[in-house]
Amino acid sequence: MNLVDMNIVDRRLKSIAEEMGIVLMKTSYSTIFNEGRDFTCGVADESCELLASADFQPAQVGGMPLVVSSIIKEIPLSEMDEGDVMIHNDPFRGGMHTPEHTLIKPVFFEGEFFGFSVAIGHIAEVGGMVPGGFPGEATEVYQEGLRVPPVKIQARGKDVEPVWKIMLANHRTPRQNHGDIRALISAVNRGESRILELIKEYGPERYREICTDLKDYAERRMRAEITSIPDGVYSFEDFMEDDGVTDQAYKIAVDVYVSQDKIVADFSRTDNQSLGPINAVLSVAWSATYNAILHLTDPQIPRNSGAFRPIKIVAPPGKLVNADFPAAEVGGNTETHIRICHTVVGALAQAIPERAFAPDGGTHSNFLFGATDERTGNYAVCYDFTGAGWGGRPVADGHNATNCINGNSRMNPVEVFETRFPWRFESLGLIPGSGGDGEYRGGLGVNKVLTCLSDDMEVSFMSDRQKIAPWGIGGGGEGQNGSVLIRRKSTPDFVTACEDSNKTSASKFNRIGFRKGDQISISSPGGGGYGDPQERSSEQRAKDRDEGWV
Amino acid sequence: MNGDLEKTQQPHTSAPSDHAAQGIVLGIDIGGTFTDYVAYDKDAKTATAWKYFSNAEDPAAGIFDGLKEYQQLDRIVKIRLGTTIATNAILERNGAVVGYIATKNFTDIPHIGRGDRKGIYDAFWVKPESLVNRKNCFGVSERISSEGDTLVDLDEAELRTIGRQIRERGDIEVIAVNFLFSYISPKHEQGAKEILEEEVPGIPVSISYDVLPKWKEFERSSTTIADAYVKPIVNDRLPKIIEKIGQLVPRADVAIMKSNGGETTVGLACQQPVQLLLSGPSGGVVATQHVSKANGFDRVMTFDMGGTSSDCAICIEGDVNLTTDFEVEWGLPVQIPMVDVRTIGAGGGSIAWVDNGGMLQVGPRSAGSMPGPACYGRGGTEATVTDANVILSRIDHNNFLGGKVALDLEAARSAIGVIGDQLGLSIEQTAKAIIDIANNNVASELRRMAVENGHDPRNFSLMGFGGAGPVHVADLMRLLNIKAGTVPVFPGQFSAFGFTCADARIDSQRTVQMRSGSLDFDRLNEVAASLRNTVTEEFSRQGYASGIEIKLYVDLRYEGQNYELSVPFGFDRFDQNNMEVLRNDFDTEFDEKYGFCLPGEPIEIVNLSVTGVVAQPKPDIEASLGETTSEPKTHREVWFEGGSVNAPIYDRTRLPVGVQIHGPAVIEEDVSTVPINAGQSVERQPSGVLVIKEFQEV
Repeated sequence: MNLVDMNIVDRRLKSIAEEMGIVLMKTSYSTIFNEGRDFTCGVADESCELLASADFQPAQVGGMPLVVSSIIKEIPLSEMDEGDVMIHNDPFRGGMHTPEHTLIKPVFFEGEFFGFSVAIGHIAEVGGMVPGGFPGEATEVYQEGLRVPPVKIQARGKDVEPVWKIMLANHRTPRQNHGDIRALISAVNRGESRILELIKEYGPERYREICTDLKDYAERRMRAEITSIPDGVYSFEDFMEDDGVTDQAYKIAVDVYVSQDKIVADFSRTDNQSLGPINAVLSVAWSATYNAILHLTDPQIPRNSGAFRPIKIVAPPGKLVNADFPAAEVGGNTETHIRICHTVVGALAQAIPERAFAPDGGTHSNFLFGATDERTGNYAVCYDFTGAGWGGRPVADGHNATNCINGNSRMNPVEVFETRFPWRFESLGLIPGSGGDGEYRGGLGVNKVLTCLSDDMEVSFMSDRQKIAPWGIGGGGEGQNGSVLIRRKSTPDFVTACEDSNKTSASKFNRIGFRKGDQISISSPGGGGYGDPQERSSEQRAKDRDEGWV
Repeated sequence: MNGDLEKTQQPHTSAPSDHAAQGIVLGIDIGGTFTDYVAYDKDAKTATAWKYFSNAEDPAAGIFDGLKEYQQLDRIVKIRLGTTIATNAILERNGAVVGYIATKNFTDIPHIGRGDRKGIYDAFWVKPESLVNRKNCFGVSERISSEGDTLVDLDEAELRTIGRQIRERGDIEVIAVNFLFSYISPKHEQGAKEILEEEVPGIPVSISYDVLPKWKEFERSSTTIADAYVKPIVNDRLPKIIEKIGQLVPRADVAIMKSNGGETTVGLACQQPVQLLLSGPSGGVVATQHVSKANGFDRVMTFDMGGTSSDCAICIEGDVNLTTDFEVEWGLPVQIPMVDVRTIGAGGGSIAWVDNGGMLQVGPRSAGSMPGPACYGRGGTEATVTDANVILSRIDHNNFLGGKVALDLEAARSAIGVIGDQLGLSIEQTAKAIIDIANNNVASELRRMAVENGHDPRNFSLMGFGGAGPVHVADLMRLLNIKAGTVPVFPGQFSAFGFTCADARIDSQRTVQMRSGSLDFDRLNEVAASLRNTVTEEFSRQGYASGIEIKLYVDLRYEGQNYELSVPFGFDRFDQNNMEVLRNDFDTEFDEKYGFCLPGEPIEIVNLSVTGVVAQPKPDIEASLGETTSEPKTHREVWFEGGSVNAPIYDRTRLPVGVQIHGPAVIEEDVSTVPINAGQSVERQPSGVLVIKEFQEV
């Protein structure tokens, strides 16, 4: 084992993944890609294990090995050629949710197979019940957009035309999606050529050895971190407030077993899968659990499959955390992922409160709409989201207005949003007092009010945390719930979607029609508080009042 | 203590000149520890460089003392000054109390930001705080639409009430104004400025349209607030420095370096001090530009390694690479055009350590300059990159900084030994491993910079400067597969040297968002004309009426994309035909950078950018070589790839021009050393620059 080569190859692999991401960012079309950075790139080895990933979207990292291995289950290696690119988004074949498309390109060095260059990107508009994805009232995966099983989108470097045709015929924004898929292909191409350079530099044998060592190294580091957690069984539970179709809360329960250098996260006590679209598929349960543990351990541990070896996840089929086909699942990776992740943190907080943190607002407030823009005559579709408050932690208050724990996207600027879409912002501000009280306060949520400028606007929504608030840790208070409210031009009051359009859920709904002058008010939740509020210093209290944080 | 730590001349001093009328141009780069000086004598075609300790308490006094070291003050005709006043005010959070006035109901923009985080798994990361307190944010009724129409008139009475409130409170020192869509219609911001100047006389007002007339309200607010935040401190300190310089050099014209690598007057710098954030580092880029042009290097990556961090930049065909994505700290964007200098957290002081998986790591923690590397003998006990260089004898512990600073070899050995014991490696093996890892960390960042600009690093040459840059150049060439490396003259004072080469330069941008299907040529022509006027007017305030060269660029992308390419627009006016040429240029450039293009696709214009330059005379240093020899001054055991070699050591100032020295070898000068690997050669150019090359492979 050569330490220097390992360090160097680790950094090189990570750079390759980052470089792929830069290509995506610079060439893609959807704002969710290039502004939201809702994508992840990585390098996998020949056993489909992850060697490195770039730090873009935490929701996708942990699920990457499962996606890749499911692809080669259906397209065996013997049928893959140099220059092939596979595409895949099926959540019931290892994908994470319908919008997330995985592209992989096999890497052959002098004819020998060495693994894959992998890019996963969120393609916002994939057909289905509502423009922009995220039908909050879907009850089957068929309604959530086009499912693409593992197929070649390029064979030996040439487009497989029928696949492109079928896909784009089923999307509402074919031009944009064409650009995004091209960008994903450029990313895996770039990855492939950089991996080949690296193999050439070290020689095939040496490269394999180093990669094996690297996974073992990440495993050692993760085991060292887990060993420092006191042994025991730690349980925690939280809820998704409803599923958009029935007015029923769903419990996510975890029993985390820590034994020396191993962790088992057992979700067996979780409720059965839902009728509505909040189901998580297996790769989401993996990804969310890894996400929690990566947040509780040293952030410098390389994100390769070795780091995940000491962590086992028990998620019985038919549960909300491993839904059976053909359940609706589009909210699983966006909303339920956050809840799974913080539930695991909540359990481990009992063992290591000094490393834990209170939960964030727990929803991205996914706001989807489609409308004709009268200024251009074009039909515009958008997937917009709003940052929430983050939880307090033992070192500081929580962040204000920040993308939740499974994302790291940037919000749309008002000026870009109004230029592109037929809405006008009336206000955009933090919500004072929305962070849970505590020695370290939760961060604040955001409120925005928009007026519709189109007569054929259709709004859909996918969020949570309007009934069951983000909790506190160690005596910290709850964060304030969020809301989505509608006001018709002719009426004085803002009301929920239930009151306005007779919807079952105020947080998850499909296609509510808006006309010019109608308004929507979106409030994201605040973060939970950390520690006894009595312990908050008087200077901090004074600053809270002075700055209007409370 | 004598501050004259080092004084180098390159080439050697020649006899006093006969035509003193031409005089001397002096560059002064005020840094945290040292202030660098480079004096270029136009008559003798020689340059002299020296360093003097900076005076943190009283910067003006520090410069005064440093200047007095120089014997020919009376011949100085021009001084260009780089200053860190603005940057330090932000980093140390000792700027002014800012009042922020925004469109009503949008006052929280600076505290909302964009909603992302610096990294994704660090739960304990704390976001840098905004430069404005939330209690000092005020909203006023007014609203412009995305088409530039007035939806709500500016409520003057309300604004006057805010103004009075500010005056009565008395704690706000400066005001920043940022209204939505002011980049399309600035009338409300301009009106507000007038009213505020009446209501709150004596308090400077920065409006976003003047500072950054571009879309994206958070980035514009951050830039405008930064300008306001540093204004009082710059207006207080900069004139004092100029006055002090004037006492010694009364007849010299003093100019200030801006972040775009151009000079400006003291008055204009005080008016818009946000332009000074990269004042110092811009010198390295300008110097690179000059050296690249003079030596015919087309594509250059630079690497300036100091104690705590390294700066890197790109220079293509002698053009400065500008960015509008600069952030002073994470989440504090300042988006005016600046030289694209990136800071890497790797320096001579980067600390080596062993993690809990048994892996050797280098950085990101640094011993900085205090206590510094163990070998400095100032109390540092942790192993650093510099210690490793000393162990490997790449840096001669007996001859550091020309022998003026004694290094403690034993302290270095014991620090590195602690790491070696954990790894089971010898001291020398450990030191070599530290250097390899540090080099790879730097190479990764250099590669990333090239890639983000759409380039392949292999097509570049690498220029190393700063105290430690030259030490690593030859190794980095190998890692990046780069065929040529260079070490310029004055590697230790390269920014100050750059100041002697600077032009007067103005870069300005404005957002004019349009789709290719619905282009408004009148609007484009109007904005282009107004940008050109801004440049001409500002030059005239700097005293330039002629020799102004203006270039227009259009920032374009395929409709829906988020990153633009800046494409030169060579015509006087926008019309259908010219747009087609522009369109083709865009497709071609996109293809070159990203490997595909979409000629039929609609495109989007986002910004117009203008660059105005008034060229200034450039240094033309003739190599007056004095006594040269191609014989090494000595030999010593130096570690290279594969082990220790009894390597020849050459004195850089005595190398003859045009003679190839083959590695393994070390070239030494007072401020730095350049190890050359086996298989590489180095040659001194007529301009004094060292060029390192890989041998032709047989």
